[in-house]
Amino acid sequence: MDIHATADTSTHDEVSLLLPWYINGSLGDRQKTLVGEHVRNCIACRRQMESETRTLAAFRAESPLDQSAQAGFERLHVRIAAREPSRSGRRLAGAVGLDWNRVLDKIQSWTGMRPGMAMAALPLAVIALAFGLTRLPQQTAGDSVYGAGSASTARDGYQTLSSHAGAVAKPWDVQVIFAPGTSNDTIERLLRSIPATIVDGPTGVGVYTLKLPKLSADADFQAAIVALRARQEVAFAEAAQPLSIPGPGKAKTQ
Amino acid sequence: MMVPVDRQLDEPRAADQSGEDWRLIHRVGMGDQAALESLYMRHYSGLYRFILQVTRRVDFVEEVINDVMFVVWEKAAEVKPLSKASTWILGIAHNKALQALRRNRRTGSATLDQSGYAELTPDMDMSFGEMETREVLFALLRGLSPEQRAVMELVYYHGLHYSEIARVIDCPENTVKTRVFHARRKLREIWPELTGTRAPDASKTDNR
Repeated sequence: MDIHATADTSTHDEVSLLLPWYINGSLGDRQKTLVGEHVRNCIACRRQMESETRTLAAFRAESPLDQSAQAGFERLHVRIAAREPSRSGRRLAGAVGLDWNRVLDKIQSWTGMRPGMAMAALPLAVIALAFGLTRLPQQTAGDSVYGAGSASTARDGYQTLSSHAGAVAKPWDVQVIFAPGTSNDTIERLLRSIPATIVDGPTGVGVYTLKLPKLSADADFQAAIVALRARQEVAFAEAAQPLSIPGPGKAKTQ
Repeated sequence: MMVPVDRQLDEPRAADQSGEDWRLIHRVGMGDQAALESLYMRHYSGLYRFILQVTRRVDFVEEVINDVMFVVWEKAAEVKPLSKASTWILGIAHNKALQALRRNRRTGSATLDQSGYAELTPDMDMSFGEMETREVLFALLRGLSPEQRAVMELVYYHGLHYSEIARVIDCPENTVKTRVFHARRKLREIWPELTGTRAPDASKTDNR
């Protein structure tokens, strides 16, 4: 038995397995040296290395997909606020029964302010509340942000905008929050273009319930929600009643 | 001799990034939503790519990203900084992406590839040079399984060591090596351009 040939084969096999990590630069010094020395003397591994380099370049080429992180985070923010408003260190529940943390959260989510700025804007919100210029949904112990618990709340452990206690939502109604600063004219144009009509809202946190035209299938309804989310004027859109499959996110292909 | 992609200069930056990530995660554990937002923005692009690569569902991606970051929000107070923060986050993403695929199979809704991804299907009348490499790659990767796409993305885009990938996908290191080996071989079969021989043949990528 040729011990050297066996050792070479073993090294070749090991190097062949390690090439992707040699190319991505994550190997330690010992393995990097092993691969480097073997590749110098092995034509097959050199060819594989060229292939690996092309693969790496292809993976790191610019993605053709447009992405919208800010809109995604807004939806996460709403989800977290609905789940557990009490965990935030900024919670300042007051003796008058207002949930100041929610006030801060809403200021932030509607204005895009950083926490510090939102804190600075808090006095204005207090004045607005005092004069009845805005309204926050009432919250009782054990409830989540947007109203009393529902069957879906009990099942899922958290509550979404779709379960807010307003008018009874019908199948294929959509709950929407428009982007801050969207004018009524813009909203009306958007609704005409869908076409959709407002059947409820806005709630105290700015949620509108929209009625969409009769659609033939859940897939069409999902597509309509995706289209809504893709609009700049829409900060949040979700089925008023849970869909049977996971809701689509806001993402666009170009 | 081929010169390896030298990422040595990137390593201190990677360490700094992970340190900053753990600082943010610590703040998230204390309920700091601004820290969560920073973390979200830092990882959004990488998560987007990874989840899209695994699920092939553009309409799933953001939902899954939010599932991932919601877990980060809930677990941040408990997690120990024993590895790179990105490894922990990608591990959650891997689980959530596969869960989304399983849900999708149960409900029977179409995958991206089944529902048509024409804009990312290579045009065989165009030369390789005329096509966006990334688009070709994305279309051809449908010939790989979700698990193979996951490891390929972790190696070539995220630049993770095989031990880190083993932590992300929760399997032995040797499994990672062999999975990548087979995925590479399959990719070379469906994309001979990688070996510099001929143009890609998209018809070979249909694994349905």
